[in-house]
This record gives sequence, C-alpha cells and structure tokens, in this order.
Amino acid sequence: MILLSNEVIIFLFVEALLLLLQGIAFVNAVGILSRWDFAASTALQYRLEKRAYLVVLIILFTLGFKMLLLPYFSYTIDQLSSIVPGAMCGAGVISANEYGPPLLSLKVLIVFLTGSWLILNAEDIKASSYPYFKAKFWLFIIIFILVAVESVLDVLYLVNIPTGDPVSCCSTIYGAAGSGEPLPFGLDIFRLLILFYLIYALILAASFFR
Amino acid sequence: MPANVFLNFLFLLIYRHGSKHIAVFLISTLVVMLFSSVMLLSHAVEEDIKVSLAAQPDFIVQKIHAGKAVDIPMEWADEIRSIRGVSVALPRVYGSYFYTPNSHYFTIVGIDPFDKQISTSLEALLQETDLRSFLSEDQMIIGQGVKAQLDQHRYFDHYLFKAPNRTKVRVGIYKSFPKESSIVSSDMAVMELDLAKRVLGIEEEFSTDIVLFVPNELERDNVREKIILQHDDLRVIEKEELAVAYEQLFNYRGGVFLLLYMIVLVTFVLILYQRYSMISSADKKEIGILRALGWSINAVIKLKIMESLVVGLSAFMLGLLLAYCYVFLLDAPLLSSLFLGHGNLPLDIVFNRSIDFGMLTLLFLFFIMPYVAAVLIPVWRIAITDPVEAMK
Amino acid sequence: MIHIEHLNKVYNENAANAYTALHDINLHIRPAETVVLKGVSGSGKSTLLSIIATLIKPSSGELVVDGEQIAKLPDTHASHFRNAHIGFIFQAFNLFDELSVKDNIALPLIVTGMSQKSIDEKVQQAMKIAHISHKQDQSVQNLSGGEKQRCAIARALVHEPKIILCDEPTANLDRENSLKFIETLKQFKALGKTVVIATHDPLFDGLESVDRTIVIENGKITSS
Ligand SMILES: Nc1ncnc2c1ncn2[C@@H]1O[C@H](COP(=O)(O)OP(=O)(O)O)[C@@H](O)[C@H]1O
Ligand SMILES: [Mg+2]
Repeated sequence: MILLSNEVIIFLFVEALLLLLQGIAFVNAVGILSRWDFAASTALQYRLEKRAYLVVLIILFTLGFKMLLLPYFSYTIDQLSSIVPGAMCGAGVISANEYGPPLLSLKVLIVFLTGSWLILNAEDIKASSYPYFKAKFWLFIIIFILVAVESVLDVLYLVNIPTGDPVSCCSTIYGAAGSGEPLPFGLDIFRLLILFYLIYALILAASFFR
Repeated sequence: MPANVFLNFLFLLIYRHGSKHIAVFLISTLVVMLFSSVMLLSHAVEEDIKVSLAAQPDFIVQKIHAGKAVDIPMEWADEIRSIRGVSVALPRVYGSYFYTPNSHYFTIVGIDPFDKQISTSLEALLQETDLRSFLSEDQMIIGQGVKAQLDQHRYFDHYLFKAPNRTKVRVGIYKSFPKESSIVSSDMAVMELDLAKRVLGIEEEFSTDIVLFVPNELERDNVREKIILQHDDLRVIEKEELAVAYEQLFNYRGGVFLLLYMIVLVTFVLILYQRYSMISSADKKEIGILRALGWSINAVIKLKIMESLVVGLSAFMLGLLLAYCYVFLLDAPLLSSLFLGHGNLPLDIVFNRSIDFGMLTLLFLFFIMPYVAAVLIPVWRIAITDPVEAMK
Repeated sequence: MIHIEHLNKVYNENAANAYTALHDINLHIRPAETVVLKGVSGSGKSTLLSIIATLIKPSSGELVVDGEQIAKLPDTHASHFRNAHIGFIFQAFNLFDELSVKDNIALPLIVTGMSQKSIDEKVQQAMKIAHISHKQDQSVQNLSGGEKQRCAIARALVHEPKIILCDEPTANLDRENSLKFIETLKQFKALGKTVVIATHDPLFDGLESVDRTIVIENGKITSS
C-alpha cells in the first residue's frame, strides 16, 4: 500500500482536485462550444462570453498547477525509491510496473499540449474577434480527456508499485522478488525524461519571454 | 501594468477592508499550523531514524521457534564470525521488563563493557562511565523515565527485579541520565550482560539475538545465504529492510493523520467557497466602479485572486512559523505522544530542527492549491457582475 | 467622434418581460461637441450612455467611436477602450468611501501600465482642474456632496479621455453646486473634450456652453 506514503497521498489529492476543477471547466466548455456564435448580439452570446472567462480561468489555474505538480511528481517518485526495494532513483521507480512508461509518455504529451494551449490562448486574447476561440476550447477538451486518462493511470501506477509488506522486517527471508529489471526500459525512460524536461523548460521560457 | 502600482493598490484595499479578511485569515492559520505540525514532526522523526539506523548493525540474526523469536545460543555467534566477510558478530541481550507498580515496560539492555559496542550511543555511554566502580557490584544506568517511575516508589538507591524464575535480583542504581541527553532513551536500563540475563531470565549460554557487521556491501547477500545454510530455524534481518520498515511505519502514521487532515481541508475549502460567495452589494458596487473605469474582467479577477492569495500566503507563513515553534521549541506537547504512540521503539527520538525544501513545497502546494481552487468560482462570479446594475 | 446607427437595445430579450429601451437610435456627435441628452426618467438616457461606454452591449446596430467599431468588442478590448477614451461622471458619484480622494482619482490609472510617479503627477493635475487638491488625503466619506462631485470630476479627467459622459450629474447636488458643475463644462470645452450629459434638470436649458440638446422619449430620439 504505497498509497499511504505522504507524498503520494498529497499528490493524488491535489490531482483529484485539479481534475474536479477541470471537469467543471469541461462541462462549461462543451456548453459554450455548442451554442457559441460570435456574430450574434444576443444576451445568450454575451453570457457565454462571460462564462468563457471562468473556463479560461480554471484552465490557466489547473494547467499552471499541473506544471508545478510535475517536478513534485518526480520528487515523489524519488522519495518512493527509498521505500521501493531495489529502486535507486526515480527512473527505476517509473519502470516498477507496466503503467509507468505509458504514464510518463502521456505526461510529456500533456505538457506539450499545455504549451500549445497557452500560445493559442495568448493569440486569441490579443485579437478582438476571438479568432482561435473554438480551436482553444476543442484543444482543451482533448487535454481534459488526456488528463482524465492520466489521472487513472496515476492511480493504477501508484497502487501497483511493489513494496515490501510493512512487517517485512520480521519475515524470515527477504526474497529476491522485488523490482523488475529496469534496464531494458531504462534507456527509454531516460530519453523520455530528457524530452519531458526539455519541453517543460521550453514552455517556462516561452511564457517568461512572452 | 507595473507590479508595484498594482500591489500598492492591492495592499491599500486589503488594509482598508482588513476586518473582512480576519476570519478567513485565522481559520487558514489554524489549518496550516495543524498540518505543518504533523508534517514537521513526522519529518523530524524520519530524519532521526535515518541517522540512528546508520549506526545500526548490518544484520540481525534471530532464532525462530514456532514463528516467534526465541533466545539464540551464544556460540552461534562464533560460527557466524567465521564466515568470510563478517567483521564483527556480537550476541545481544535486551528485552522488556514489566514494572508492575505502574504497569510500564522498561527496556533492559545488557552490555559487555570490554567488547565492541553495538551502537555509537552505547559506546559514548561507556566512555563517560567509570567502568571499575560500575562493575564492582550489580548496578545499572537508567534513563529519565525509568528514574521517574522508580523515584515514585522511593527506589532511590536500588531496585529488586523479579526475574521469571521467581528469584529476586537486586540491582543498584549507578546513575541516571539527564533529560537533555540523547544517549540513553528514557525507558532504558543499561546493565552488565550477565546481570541483564538474570533479570530477563535468559539462560547462561544464550542471548536475545546476534548482530553482525559486513563492511563490504557486495558480500552481504553471500553472507546472508551462508548464515541461513548453517541453521534452518534462523531469521536474518538486514538493515535495509529495517529502514524500509521504519519508513513505512512512519508513513502509515503520517498517512493516517494526512487522511484526517484531508477531511479538515475539504471542510475548509467549503467554508472558503461559502465565505467568498457571499458578495455584499457594497463589494459589487466597488467592482462595478472599477469596471466602469476601464478595469477588464481579467484585471478584476487578478485583483481578487491576489487579494485572497495575500491573505492565504500570510496565513501560511504565520501558521508555518507557529508550527515550527510548537514542534521544535515546545517539543510538540500532545501531538508527539499521539504521533509517537507508546510503541517501544529501540531508537532514541530527538527532534532535529530539519525542514527540507521538498517538504516546504509539499506544505505549500497542499494548502495553497485548495485555497485558490476554492475562490476561483466566487472570484469569477464577482468579476462578471454587470457594472451598470452594481452601481445602481 | 461618436457615430450611432440603427441602434436598438432590448432588455431581457426573448423573455416574457422583454423591454425595448432604445429604438433605432441614430446619432452623430462631433469631436469637442458638448451635447445634452434630455428626457424624463425611464426614457433610456442611462442605457444609451452605458452603451457608448461599452458597459452594455446593444442588441443590434452600429457604434463607432473615434473610428473604432466597439459594439461587439470582447471585454478585454472594450475595457481597454473605455479606459483610454471614456471619462464617466455618475449621479451617485460612485466613489470608494474608504479610500482617500487621491486614491479614488488614481483608480483608472492603475490598469494603464503607468509608473507610480506619473500616476501621482496626473492625479495632482486632475485635482487642480477640479479644485479638490486641498482635500487629497481626506477619506471620501468625510466629503460634502459638492466635494464628492469634484472628486468624481477629477477621476473622470485623470486618464485624459477624449469623451466625458455625465449621467444626471446634478441630481444629487444643491443649486449652488449644480451651478458650479455647469461652470466646469467650460473647462471641459477648453480641454477639447467631447461631452454628453444625460439629464432632465432644467438648469441645462439654453446654456451657452451647450452646443446641442437632444431629446429622447421612450427610447426614441425625437429632436436633435
Ligand atoms: N437591466 C434592465 N433590465 C430591464 N429593464 C431595464 C434595465 N435597465 C433599464 N431598464 C428599463 O429601461 C428603461 C430605460 O432606463 P434608463 O436607461 O435607466 O432610463 P433613464 O436613465 O432615462 O432614466 C426604463 O424603463 C428601465 O426600467
Ligand atoms: Mg438614468
């Protein structure tokens, strides 16, 4: 039960809260997209425009915090390596079960899409006729679906990290069973991690120099 | 907009509306303090365990009978010592003694003063002790807790232990250790090996367990296998496992608190949401004025979010400061007994004043995230107020 | 400066209580012109001013101010336009009671991106025009009606807008202060502002500083 590690509990709690908020944004986004007509001067359209501020606000907030959560995820994973028998660092923990590598790939993809969304949003706000409005909402819907999948994977991954039983200090022999073989995947994970940090740094730089 | 102009106005507003924020500020401070105390405490304990474990032997060997650890023949230590790679193998004698008057357990630790000591703290203890006078008769060195219990029943000079074989063993009190000392934990009574055996009822040729040091990490698996081959009723515990076990144990304790705290946090978020959703017509009017003067919805959102952030951040810092004082200056009364429980941990707990960056981020994230999340929707709602309506 | 064509405003559109507040308004106001918008209460004056200030969106029609189409601007742009071009003086003054005169006047400048130093300079300048400098550090709640009005005037001028909209500026003032306000109109003129005053106060009839009086009745312009 790795779930009772403090870092993991906090990670999952924060993630759940973000997902909830994004869910609210998602429902609103779908509602707005289905009735959006910029040419109209109806009260409905102006209400939708106001509602869009909520959606954008939540998206900015959640995506921002997700970015903060990524280094925290690495930190959590690193902390876990002291609990997970046989793992020496985060990369080892990532490949501790079959959910790790796809999860990491998904995280990389989401970071990339997040960056794209931020750029799209900035361009949309600059213009006075909402040129990318629909595009950015569609992109968000895609991101939301990916984030939902990511959250499920996060839970599956963390629940399935093997640990010794809490009473393992009393068990007769500590068997050789434990971590899988990290090497075959190790190289991929390593590349993935580099890619991940590269995109991350890029987005930070982009938002900084904007 | 230049940050300082905006911030000047922000702080001016907060200052003018101070009383509106007091309630949220106080609740937030309390929540942060509660949470930080638990986290600081659990972290300090964890760090302490890491340090203590570093001095622990690499392996502990126990004899198992019917699934329970029983006394192990001392000569097995010699057999183990002959395995290649083992630098030291020592029989240990220790155990719990039930002190009937107060229904408390003492930890009896036997030492062989002329052999290598198992832990650096015992080493230090012996260095401070005049061995000749200590060994001249049956005597013990006791921790503060033991002393307090014995004093209560006026055993100032000696105590008569009731050994399991119904004999009484008279043990003199050589000295006790002051509270500040971390050398002897409070529930410990240290005495000479054979004396300890008599008190605990361990037979002459036996010991509680055997510890060994294997300096070369690569040889450890090998050594473990060889020990197991020698006798089949052995349990071999490696230090690494101990570390993992301790870490898990504390994660569990911390985790339970964390789950409780999460309930508190959810309540807190709901309160915040409620609080910020109550928009007075005066508040609305102010926003309406700002909007009429050319503040955009985004600018108002920024103002309002920053406003609650300032309140939240200052509450966070004050709460953290209070927690720090509570844990490290006051030694966490109430909480520490709750947290450490009565578990007879063989390690001495000293609260080192340690906070690491990771934990600070953790504390911060875990508080600020729900905090801001709670105000997002109310803030948006006030930002989109129709200025014309609001100013009527 | 202000061009309004076929402008309609319907409140609560598509609802049972739908109400057409403005009917096919056509209006052209030249730069530096001072116009009085006259009409009884409920005739749609405030609605029209709010639409010019982009505080309310029209239901249909065209609105061009200073060459810019503003009827359908997204809020960020509308607010920016308002902040750059419009000074608004309200009947109820609409000041922050807890803040000082100076801080109230600075409100429109905070979002402009100006430095604190130039903000302070502009505030001083505006206070001088509105004759309120001597009260600059007073809290607004301690001011008299006339002083509040002058504070509001300074705030409407501080960001140097081209257009000043006044909604019933004298409704909460006594006769003496109302006359003082009418004096200020000359100053607006001297500064080259385009001024629109919505009022039903007869004091504004036949003033020399007013270029034109437009009468609005039941949401329709009846004479201009
Ligand atoms: N938000 C609103 N919803 C519905 N009706 C409104 C609203 N605001 C104003 N009205 C109506 O529109 C008409 C014009 O109002 P207004 O522009 O305030 O008139 P004036 O400023 O000339 O007194 C009035 O009959 C008023 O009741
Ligand atoms: Mg009116």
